[in-house]
Amino acid sequence: MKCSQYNVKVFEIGIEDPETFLKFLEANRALLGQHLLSIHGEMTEEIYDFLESNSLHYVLNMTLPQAKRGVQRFRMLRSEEEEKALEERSTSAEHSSDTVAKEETPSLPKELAEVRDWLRKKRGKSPEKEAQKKETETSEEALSASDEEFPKAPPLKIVKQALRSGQSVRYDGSLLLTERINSGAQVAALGSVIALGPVEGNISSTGECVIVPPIRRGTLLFHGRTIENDALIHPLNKITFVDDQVVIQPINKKEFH
Amino acid sequence: MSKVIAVISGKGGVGKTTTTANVGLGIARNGRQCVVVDFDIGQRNLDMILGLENRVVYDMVQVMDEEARLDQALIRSKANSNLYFLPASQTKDKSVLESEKIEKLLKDLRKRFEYVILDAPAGIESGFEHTIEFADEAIIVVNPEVSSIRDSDRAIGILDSKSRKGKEGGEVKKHLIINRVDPGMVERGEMLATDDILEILSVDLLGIVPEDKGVIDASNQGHPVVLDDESEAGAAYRRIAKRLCGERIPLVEPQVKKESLVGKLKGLFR
Ligand SMILES: Nc1ncnc2c1ncn2[C@@H]1O[C@H](COP(=O)(O)OP(=O)(O)O)[C@@H](O)[C@H]1O
Ligand SMILES: [Mg+2]
Repeated sequence: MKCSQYNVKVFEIGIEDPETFLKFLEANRALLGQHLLSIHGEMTEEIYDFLESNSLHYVLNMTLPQAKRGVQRFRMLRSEEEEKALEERSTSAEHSSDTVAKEETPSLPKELAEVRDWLRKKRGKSPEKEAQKKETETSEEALSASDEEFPKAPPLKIVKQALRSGQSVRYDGSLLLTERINSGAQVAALGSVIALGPVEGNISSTGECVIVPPIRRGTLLFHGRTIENDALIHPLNKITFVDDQVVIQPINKKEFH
Repeated sequence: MSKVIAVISGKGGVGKTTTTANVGLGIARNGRQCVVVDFDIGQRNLDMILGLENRVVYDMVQVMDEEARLDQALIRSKANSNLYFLPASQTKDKSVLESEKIEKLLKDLRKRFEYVILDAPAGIESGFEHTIEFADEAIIVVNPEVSSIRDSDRAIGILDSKSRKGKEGGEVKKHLIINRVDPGMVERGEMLATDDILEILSVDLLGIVPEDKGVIDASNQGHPVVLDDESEAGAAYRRIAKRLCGERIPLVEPQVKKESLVGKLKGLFR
């Protein structure tokens, strides 16, 4: 008997008003194509046609087993606000200023590669050693794949002093910086970076998001891509990946409460 | 209570030595016992600005190495009897500085003087960390230029992390002097404005000194501008000295000189 186990990402949505539902599907078609849609509510013919003609995978009114962390995490990501943001983005998809990504192959920025190596050293693993280990462990890993996918993140680190020229903060988790980041200062995080003070130094992150005010002089690298300063037009900008595109959205105050 | 104040900057040539001489003399004129120490070994020009270069016999390093007594090396200023000067070594280089010896020297100076002012080498040089190590306070001198601000920012970072006070979880009290401000250029937006500088450095402003050709002449003559009642830069240094002595003196932003009508007309026909 042939048997395999793998994880699927489930996107849970309810049909309240068929028209808005269809609009949402249309706007997010590309993204939804990578998910299993778990739809709750009453199906209409239009919705059915749309799902079929776009080859979307879906189940209707089904209670799926709750893979503890996986589903929860996903739900968190796609909270109401997130969905709204997604909608906003798709309605303004033509405005290229909202979707800014320099066309370059996203590679790990140098600082981050260094952080990663440093971490490996700290944990007593050299990059080569780890690669070897991976090979021998694949079978085991396949079984614990869901655990492996959500490793315990280090706690959020809060930096409450201004970073001056020549000073740097490197961290393997997410960073919250409440004060200025001056010209010549360096911030590198494997997780997200939230900077609330003026940014004139360099930030790089490979986390879920970066939140920054407009940047006049510093450089922002998000997963190795340079984010143009001109694109940061909001008082606070949230930079994320949606569907492999860099998306910049305003942060509404609500999200902080 | 005596205090050790280091005069620092990111790069050289911004006016640390000029500031040390004028502020030291200003403090002495307020009736306080003050000593200025030249920590910029190898550069040594504080003696010249104070007009004391011919009086140098012993230097700071000889005192630290106990080749000379402190009172033998200290030189009293001609301009004010409350001011003393301790010269840098001319012959030795910066590597001679050792923490324990510096600590001992500063301890001895604290016993005699209310204000011990150290003229530091630039923030990028090796002697810098020794100058700030035992400081209670620091005067940061900047010019209103982006590069000067940035280098000073770096120096402040070193001050916070390498000073004894910083290492013990405290903080060296910081004052900012913006030197060589040309009000006309600020007005035209060609220089960084005071507010921008303060925001970047997050340090309290001690004073603003205008660009003044008199400063250079005065230095060459060994007669610092603080002694010149007519000089605007001198007035700025006098206010700074008073603030350091605890007086509350309002800040004065240098103003563009209003040209007289005749001057304006002359300009028109030039
Ligand atoms: N306010 C000023 N106006 C004009 N010239 C100045 C002023 N302050 C300093 N200078 C000149 O700038 C030069 C460098 O000053 P100095 O005090 O030797 O700097 P540092 O000790 O930081 O290297 C000197 O020639 C000095 O006369
Ligand atoms: Mg000097």
